[in-house]
Amino acid sequence: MDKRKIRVLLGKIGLDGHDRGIRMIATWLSKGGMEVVYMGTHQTAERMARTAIDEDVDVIGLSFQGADHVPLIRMMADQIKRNNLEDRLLVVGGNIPRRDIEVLKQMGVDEVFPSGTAMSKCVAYVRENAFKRRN
Amino acid sequence: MVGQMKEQIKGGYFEKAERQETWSGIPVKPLYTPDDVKSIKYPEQVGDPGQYPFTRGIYKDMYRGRLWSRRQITGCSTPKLTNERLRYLISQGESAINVICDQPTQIQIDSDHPWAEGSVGRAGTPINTMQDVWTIMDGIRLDKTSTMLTAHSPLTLPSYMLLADKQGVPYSELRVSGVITPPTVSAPVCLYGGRESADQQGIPWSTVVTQGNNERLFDVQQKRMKEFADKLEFIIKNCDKMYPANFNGYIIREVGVGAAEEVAWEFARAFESFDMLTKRGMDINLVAQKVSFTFSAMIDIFEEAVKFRTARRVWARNLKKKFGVTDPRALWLKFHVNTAGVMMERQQPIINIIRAAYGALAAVLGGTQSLQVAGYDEAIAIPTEEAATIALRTQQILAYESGVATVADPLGGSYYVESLTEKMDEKMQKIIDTIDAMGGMTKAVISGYIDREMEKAWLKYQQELEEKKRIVVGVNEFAIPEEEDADVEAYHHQVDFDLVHRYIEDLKEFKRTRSRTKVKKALENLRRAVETSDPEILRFEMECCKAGCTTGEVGGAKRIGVGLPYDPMGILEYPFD
Repeated sequence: MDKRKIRVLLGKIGLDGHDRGIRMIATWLSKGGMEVVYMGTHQTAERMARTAIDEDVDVIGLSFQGADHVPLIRMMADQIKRNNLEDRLLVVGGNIPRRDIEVLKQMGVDEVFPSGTAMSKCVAYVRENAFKRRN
Repeated sequence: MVGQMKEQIKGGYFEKAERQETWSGIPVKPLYTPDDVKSIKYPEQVGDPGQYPFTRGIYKDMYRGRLWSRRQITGCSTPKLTNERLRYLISQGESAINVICDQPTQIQIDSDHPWAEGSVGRAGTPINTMQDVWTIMDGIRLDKTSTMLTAHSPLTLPSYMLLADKQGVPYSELRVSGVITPPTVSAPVCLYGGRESADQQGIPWSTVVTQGNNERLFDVQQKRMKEFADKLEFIIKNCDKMYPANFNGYIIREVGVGAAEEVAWEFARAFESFDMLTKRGMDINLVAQKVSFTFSAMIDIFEEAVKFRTARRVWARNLKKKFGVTDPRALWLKFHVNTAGVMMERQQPIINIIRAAYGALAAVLGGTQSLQVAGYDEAIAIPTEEAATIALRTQQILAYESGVATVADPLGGSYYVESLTEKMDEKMQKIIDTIDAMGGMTKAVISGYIDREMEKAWLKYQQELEEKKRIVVGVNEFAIPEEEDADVEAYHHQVDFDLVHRYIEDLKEFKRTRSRTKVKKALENLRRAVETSDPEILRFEMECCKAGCTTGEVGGAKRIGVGLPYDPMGILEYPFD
């Protein structure tokens, strides 16, 4: 529908600093022709939401390693609601146990890419769905 | 369907081993013969176990003298749950312990800090007070059980000393390793986004990254090096059985770099610390005896065993050459091994038991002093009791049934192993020389070189996975549909998080009811001690423990003492002004 490049915001919220996964996906999304804004580690949900508005991104991507994904994504979902960002695609990657995937989706996460997912699969999903709720 | 199966069966029959290099990328031939080892001089390059250059082991009789420590990493959601798990594992035959803290404790903030919300007790145990340390160790004799403590609260060592006093254990009998962290930059400073690991290491990473202010960095580093040296001196004098400084190559390997980088980069960091300590006039023959390492064991059995053999001789040779070490005990490379966390996959998790067993086998073949085997659920959470038990049993099968503990360095003399050892040595030495030429590890990290090398390595690894040039069973080959896979119950599904909530409420109550005057006085004294580089900082930390100061407060007071803001997350003010 759009010639515009897909804009993706990536970052890690909370205290955990394992950034191999998110830096890897940043590289692959860029190689896939998207514009990536990488926030780095030790971000807050509030700062992610603010940047999502400022940078007018289509996709917000978070990554987790420290088993703290449920409470932290709850904070992100809350910020998304508060800032009327529900039209952005929300994707999550990392060490996510299978039975948490449904829990995260109920909070508003569009897709979960647990560790071991092929990068090509993540890129294809984002490309296909980036604008699904945006006009 | 039948036609397709026939195709696969036929294809399988003619399948060849495709890989022509080790897991970390060293090219290898299909066959090794006497020709490959004929230039190797046995006494100089290999040597018997217990003899320089210690390729075959640091002890003459290796495991017939003493088995490796079977030491599982443990850190559950509260100190009490951690203690229960430790007691259980010890009752099942674990011979040593390794306690790991949760994220807030590692970063040195309290469990009631706004940033800690959601992270308390998730990836390790919280430690907020001296009582927490005592709770974790309840019923465990400090002179009977060797304890490893890395990435810890600043309260841990002083609380240990006070617990020793309470148990009536003399300091000379304390068996603890890794309890003080050398303030030199390690490669994972980049890996872990800087702030937390940098702060554990005494490096104000934010100054480096945001201000490029290296002068300030080195100023803080000098102060913390002084503290480190003072504590080390105290331990050398009083704590004969302590190996307080642990250098961690494991985390470096977890990023995806090769076996040679893992060892050489962390050696480079140790050499930089030794430089600083010897400049202070400390005796390298004493210092080097007090140092140990943590390494990883990945999946390639021969490459990993070779890595450990090679590391011992590269270490001994460099200590001799660079620092003039003469005491043979100071040339021993003592290390603990964690089977690699990064090789544990989320898909078909049960087969991780086999991966971990191969890693453990390599570690033992390589002559490790201490071993942790990852739980098969490593890829999703900290281990459940079941996973931890299987991991411990894996070690016990190796120790008692497999026969690998019976003979020292059983791989010695293999054409392949000896030849690969030479190649690995060349690689490690080359990396050490490269870092030396850059002016040491701190400079190599700051320049961005290490970060670029790590990124290159993990991108290459992932690219190979995507193109199936590298096969990981159950991940990019032999995969099964998600819904048919085992649904492993994660540890945190078993935890009643009301317990964690109650733990945090108890902490708040503790802070309300303790003597504010005593806390304030103890913190002021500590802050001044750090400011003036008092040689007895440890004593002031012990006073803080007794007064009821917390991890965040003690960490904060020490940060102020070296000229940094109180709160590593930058939101709390020093509460006692």
